[in-house]
Amino acid sequence: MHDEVVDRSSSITFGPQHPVFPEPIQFKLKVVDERVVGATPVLGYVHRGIEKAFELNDYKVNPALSAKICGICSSPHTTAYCRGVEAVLGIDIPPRAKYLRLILNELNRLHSHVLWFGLLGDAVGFESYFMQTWNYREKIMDMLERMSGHRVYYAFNAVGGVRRDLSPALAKEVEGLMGKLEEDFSSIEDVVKDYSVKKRTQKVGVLTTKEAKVTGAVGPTLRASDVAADLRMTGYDAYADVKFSPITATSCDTYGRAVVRWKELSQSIDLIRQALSKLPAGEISVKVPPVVKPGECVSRVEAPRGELFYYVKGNGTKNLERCKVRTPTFANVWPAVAMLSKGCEIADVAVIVLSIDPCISCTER
Amino acid sequence: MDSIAVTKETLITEAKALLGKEARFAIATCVDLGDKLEMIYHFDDHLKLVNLRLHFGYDETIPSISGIYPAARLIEMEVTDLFGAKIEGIQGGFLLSEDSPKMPMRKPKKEVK
Repeated sequence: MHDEVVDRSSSITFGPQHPVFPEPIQFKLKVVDERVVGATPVLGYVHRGIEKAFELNDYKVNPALSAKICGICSSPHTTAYCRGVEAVLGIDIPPRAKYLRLILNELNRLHSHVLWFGLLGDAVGFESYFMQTWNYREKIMDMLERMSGHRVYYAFNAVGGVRRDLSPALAKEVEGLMGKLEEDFSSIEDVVKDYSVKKRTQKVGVLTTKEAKVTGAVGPTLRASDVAADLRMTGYDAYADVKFSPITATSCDTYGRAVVRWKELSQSIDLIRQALSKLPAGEISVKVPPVVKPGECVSRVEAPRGELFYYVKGNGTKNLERCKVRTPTFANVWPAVAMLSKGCEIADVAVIVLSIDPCISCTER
Repeated sequence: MDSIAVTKETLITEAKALLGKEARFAIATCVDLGDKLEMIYHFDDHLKLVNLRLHFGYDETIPSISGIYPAARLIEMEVTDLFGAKIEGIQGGFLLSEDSPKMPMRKPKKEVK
């Protein structure tokens, strides 16, 4: 009998609770034998109504709220929020604050990418590597705590600048950490070039350049499909003053996404070094008015997972009229569906979903 | 913020033109203006932001652009849930469950004295 006459497919649910997913998301998979031929994402398990809460708070309190959207990339969230409100207010923050934001955001990218490599190790059955990479991550998180006062929710950015300065002694320690991390990251290079890891990731989760554009992929997922798009190219904050070019891969698969993230580790170290060497003296914040004048603005920054999008609208009061947040994972859910629906093996579903570095609490807000 | 005003009739044409230029759909923002809804469709045209702005009544049904940009489906479902917007071929149930508050992002109606 032909497939057109008899439907041999069956449905299985993948998640919301699964050992590979740190957070709840479900994919309803349509499978034929061991082959996936369709996928439907199901979200809504951790929706918290944060966009509504943005409208109820004083706008100056909101950076603390935006940080809590994501525990892994809280620095880009506060940066995007503050940049959006600052644009509506029409204020320019001091150059030193722009550099400090860059340093914190790149430290954040380092720990986020290292975390991802640990999760990749876990997903492909390399558990000792998971422990090893998260040990490297601890060093970065300790430094983030020393800079901002917190390990996870940094509360470093404020509307009008940043809340803490970087002393010369601490700047030297950050510089020293970069050298140590370079040594540590050589083991990540070993894993990226490992035969077993290549077998589990090469030609798995292929997303062509055209598909990446049409499905709206962002970040390393987009760049690994050979699209040189990185919002840091627009030169926001201090990125205009540092040498930077986006990292891409041509393989368009899970392996390419690992390579892009691995190279971005070195890139972030380089950016931090450049910023430290050029760090200007001066104030770290400016005074801001008690109310946000009527107006609207879109603020986009490059978070570790990709483009982070904030739309901010003021109404002449201390509360915002509207604050819309689109996180990178929200944009990368549809590309993941496209990758899954192409006939991958069930055993590869976890690795493919992981390859977009999913953050579900982020996505649902 | 610069934007291009569109109508229900021209939205699809404009979206197709952006797809032809290989612009990436970023997201759509819905805002409750008090007497109607506003949808701003944001596109990334090679790192430049392009915004299409559409105004429509609470009871008006607008076309879906998910036929052109499949990624738009998720945000159209979300807007249906949170704002009660009516979009052709789109149902809610994305972020909210059946017993959740209805249209929680709508502004409270102002009392007329």
